[in-house]
Parts: sequence; structure tokens; C-alpha cells
Amino acid sequence: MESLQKLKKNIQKVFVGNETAIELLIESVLCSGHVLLEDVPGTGKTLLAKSLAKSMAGQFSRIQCTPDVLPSDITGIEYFNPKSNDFEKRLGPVYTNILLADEINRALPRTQSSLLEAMEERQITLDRETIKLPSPFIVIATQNPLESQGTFPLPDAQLDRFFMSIPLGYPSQEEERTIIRRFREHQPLDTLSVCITLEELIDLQVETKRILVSEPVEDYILQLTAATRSSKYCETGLSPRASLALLKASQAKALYMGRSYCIPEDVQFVFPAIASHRITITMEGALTAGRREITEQILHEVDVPVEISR
Amino acid sequence: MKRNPHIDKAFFLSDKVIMSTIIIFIWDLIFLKHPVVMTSILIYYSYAIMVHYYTNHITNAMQILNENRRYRVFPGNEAVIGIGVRNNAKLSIPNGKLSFELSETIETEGVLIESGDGVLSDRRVYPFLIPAKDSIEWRLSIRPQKRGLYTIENVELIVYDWFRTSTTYFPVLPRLQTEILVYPLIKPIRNIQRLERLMPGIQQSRLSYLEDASAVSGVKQYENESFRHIHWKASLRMQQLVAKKYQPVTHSGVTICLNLSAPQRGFHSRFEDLISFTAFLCQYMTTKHLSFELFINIYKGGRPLTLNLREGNEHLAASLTALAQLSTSGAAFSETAFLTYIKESQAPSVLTILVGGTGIRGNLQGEVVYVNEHGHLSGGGTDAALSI
Repeated sequence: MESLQKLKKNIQKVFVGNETAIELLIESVLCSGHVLLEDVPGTGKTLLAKSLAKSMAGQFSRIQCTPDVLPSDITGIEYFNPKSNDFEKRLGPVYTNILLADEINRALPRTQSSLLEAMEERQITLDRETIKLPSPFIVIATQNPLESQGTFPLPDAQLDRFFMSIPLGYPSQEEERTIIRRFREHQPLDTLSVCITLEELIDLQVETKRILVSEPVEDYILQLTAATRSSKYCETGLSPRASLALLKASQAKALYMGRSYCIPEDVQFVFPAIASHRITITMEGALTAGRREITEQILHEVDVPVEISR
Repeated sequence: MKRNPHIDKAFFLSDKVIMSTIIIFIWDLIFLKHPVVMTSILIYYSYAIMVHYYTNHITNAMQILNENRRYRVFPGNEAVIGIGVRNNAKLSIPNGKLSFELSETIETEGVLIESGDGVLSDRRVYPFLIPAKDSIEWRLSIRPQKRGLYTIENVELIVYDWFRTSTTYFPVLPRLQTEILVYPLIKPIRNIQRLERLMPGIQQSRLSYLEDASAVSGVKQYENESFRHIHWKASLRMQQLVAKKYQPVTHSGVTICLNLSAPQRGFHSRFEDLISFTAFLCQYMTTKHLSFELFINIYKGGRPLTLNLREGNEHLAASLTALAQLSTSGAAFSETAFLTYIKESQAPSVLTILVGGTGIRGNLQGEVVYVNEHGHLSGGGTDAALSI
């Protein structure tokens, strides 16, 4: 898809390395899915999120999560205005198209949970009134998995609402060379222009839903989900919401590759990003491998459907 | 800097020999015109050219698979690790050998072992034959015996031609990215159930620097609090600005402090046992769903090695990983400095467990108990009630 390649190239003007992460992020946007960017500090999580937001038209808000950010700081507040002698609404930063929740695990669990309704139902409730959020509404959250002082791990219910979790990893030596050269004199983010309008994005999202998923690919998705539920390394496996996410992400991957149908490789590509943050691992699992390794192992163990010619 | 492979050819394929045969060939071509000699020399040249192109071609085409993978295993348990090579050439490799060194504390199965000569250690060897554009991965069954972080070292790839007339030695890889992490042995503390008496009815609560903003306990008079702390509805009812009052935070963390120093100098003679008892404590806290922090008196970035207060299986894995990598090669903090550091930086805890050391309790938080080098737990509450 030309517009998607254009979007990727635009992001790459700023963000160097990890093309897989950029691809997954775009696929997540195609499904209106919320993304959790995870890695150690300085790997470009916020930069990637900001590059995507700047490449797309629409509103962008950012919340720097700290322990004293309260739910009302995110959703909004109804306060009493003595001048008008009445309650007035002030909508929070959540009322936007792309919301960057930076260092989300530094906010209190209560504040994190205030995003639940917005993320799942794309609406917020202030006192008695329910307000629809603009479309598309995408939350891009970042967190540093190493830091634990003064952080609050995201509850499982919250994690399940993230469509994908994308680790960024360190760049290669050559990529790092490009980074230090590119950012030496100026900040490329400042000159980044919009390359996709909201209308175009909505059209692409509609097109993603039309991608054909054959029965063997559907079976493959279901087998992968079932495998996470029966794995000895998983305490809890994938939810039906995750199966649906896996299907949607595979469709987005197919669209990204310019196909009108899904193939098992699409499912394999998106599976670790969809599954790794949703599974709860057992003690044996934690001591044997990490979440990513477990999802990759499951991917290895489940038979891939092959075309049988007659 | 990239190093090139070294090629060793049999004497008859050396440049000097080839050059000298040219004279014989020309002599035969002009004067003798002996068909047998000419054919033999031509066959010899063809072979030499083939070997030359073969060695040059595979030089850039062979690759040792070097994935960044970490295998985790407990001592005495078996794990299977993968090691492999890839042939990117259009030619098959009929004869090759991959060899590497692995710690002697790791027993291996299903691999040839070439003995070292006293200076060099034993090498594990895989002879191979690999088709064109293909890769091979061997599954090596390992059984580590000792805690630690191990790597596959001095990996050497040697490729021969069809008749072993030439040998290509690829540059030795100092170490592969693959790591084998061997957790410490978990040795139980026998009277561990005594800990439960010290923590009756403790409820878990998330750590917060501030008040527990998730629990409003009432309202108080407004005193320049933040805008969002104003209780608007109560203010309206009371016709004056009032702010929310929050409940104090309760904590249920456990602090585990591992002191590996000997009472006098150097490291404790039962270094491994102390680590094993600490590993047991970490596992115990995880099974009881308690959050714990871990301090170890080994220098790490100018302070004792610290794992912050957390809970769950992944925290246990991180703790055991840290314990697995401890060695006596580093420097350690003295007991007094260590306890001072803990006192200043420990999270609010209900229980502090000191493993090793002389049993000085300092002025640490909550109940303080002590685990000695024999795995006996004492202290906390009234010592008499807990003594064995």
C-alpha cells in the first residue's frame, strides 16, 4: 500500500532502526488499536509515538504520567464556577485522536484504570454525562519495564486493552551511527510533515476489515489461542478479545503487504506483539523463559496450515 | 576490524609447485608432446583451479549462527541448546568442523570431545556436511552443575575441500551471543514457617511516595491544596472550599539482605550456601504473593546490588538471575556500610531478613530476622519464641 509505505518512510525520517516496530505500530493504527511501547530508557519510545502522531493529521495530546496524576487530569473535570453559579465541564487530554500516555506505569492504578472506558468504549463519563471521543482514538503508552521504584505495574485488565505491546530494542551499530549523525545539528521531528489525513486513515481502516481470512487461517488463530491456554508456562492464556485482535492485526498486516487475503505468515508476524503482554506466566515459565520467548515457542509448536493441492 | 579466513593448502597445491609445473607443461607442449603428461598436468591444473575457486567462494559464504538467546536452567537439570552454521554458497560443503569451548562444569551429551593438551581446555566438536544454501542446527543436551552465567567460547569453524587438500580456517569467534544462565541451587530454610508468625494478617498494598490517592477518607479545610484535590461537591454543600483527605498508605514489603562477606575479610566460606538460602527466600515470598526487595553487598555501580520492591514470578526470575551471576571476583561492602545503606534506602517494610553476616541488626525497619550460614532462622518478635 503506497500511503502506508509513505507513512513508514515519513516516520523513518525521524526514527531510525527497528522497522518491525514501525510496521506493527502502523498495523495497530489500521485496527484503531492501542499500543504499549516497552523498553529501557533512551530507545526512542516517545520519539516513535510523536513521529507517528506528527505524520497523521488530527489532534494529539500527551500526558506525562506521574504518581500525582489523577483520573480527572485525564478524563476531565466538572467544577463549580462561582461566576456562573453552575457546574462546568473541562475536558481532559483524553479528548483527542492520538493520546500519548508517557511512562504510564508511573501513574496510580486508579489513574491507569480511568483510561479503561476511554480505551475500550471510546467514550468518557463525566458525572452523569457520557461523551463520545473523536474517531479515530488511539492511545500510545510507553513504559520502562526495568524501573520499579515508584511504579505501578499495569493491571491485567488494562493490559488486555492494549492491542499490541511492542519492544523497541537497541539499534545496531550502523543505525546508531545514523542516529548520532541525524540528531547532531537539528531535531528532525520539528520538520516532519503530515502525510496521511484522517479521512484516508478511516478509509484504510474500513479496507482492513474487508481483508479475506480463510477458514484454515481462522483455525490457525484459534489453535494459537488455545495453545496459550493449555501451555504449562502460562497461568492464564489469551482472551477472546485477544483472538479478535490477532485476527484484526493479521488483516492489517495483509493490507500492509498489499494483499487482499491473509496468510499464516501474517498471523505469525503479529502474534508475539498481540500475545506477549496478555499472558500471565507461571513460576516455571518465568524461570525458563521470558514472555516473548514463550509466545515464540508456542508459535513454533502449533502446526502451520499448508495449502494442499489435489 | 573484519578478519579474513586463513587458507591452508596441501604442498602440491602451493603456488611454488604450480609455478614449477608450468615449465614442465611448456617443455612438454613444445618438445616432448607426451599426451599422458599433458593430460595429467591439465587435470592437476583443473583441480587446483577448482580448489582455488571453492575456497574463495566459501570464504564469504559460511556463517556461524549467532542468535542472542538465553537458556535458563537449574543445576543438575537438563536443557537443550541450539548451535548451528549456515552455508550461503551455491556449493555444498562436503567436509567441515565446528568446535567450541564450554565450561567444564557443564556436562554435554551427543557431541564429540577433543581433549585439550593441558593448556587448552576440552573442545566440543561437530563434524558436518551441509548442502548449498542451507543451514544446520545441532541440539546440544547440557546439564550444568554449577551456578553462573556461561557462554559458548572460542568458536572455530574449519572447512575442508572434497579430499582435504585445502583447509579454510574461519576467524575464531571469542564468544557467541547465546548465554546459559544457571540459577543457584535452592536450599530450604528449615524453620521458615516461623516467618508467618511475624506477618499475621498483612494485606498487600501498592507502594506510593504520596498518600493513597485511591482512598478518600474524608474532607478537610482547604489549605492551598492542588486544584484537583478540591472536593467540589462537598465545597458546594458546605459553601466553603474543602479539600479531600486521603488514607495513609500501608506497606507489606519484605526486605531481604544478603551479606556475602566473611566476618573478618574476604568472602564467606559458605558463599554458595548463602546464595542458595536467599534464592529460597525469594521463592518463598513469591509463593506467598508477597512483594520483596533484595539487597546484596556486592558493588554494582558504586552501591550494593539492589532489586527494588516488586512481586510476582517475573520478579523472582529477575532475583534468581541476579543471584546466579554473583561471583567472588568483585568487591563487597562491609557489614556496617551495607546496613547503613539499607537503612537509608529500604522501602517501608514489615520484615527485614538478613542472610549471612554477624547478625548485627542495625536499625532496620519492621521485624528483623537473621538467617545464618547453616540456614537457621532466628530473631524477630521475642528471640526466645523463635530460637530453635
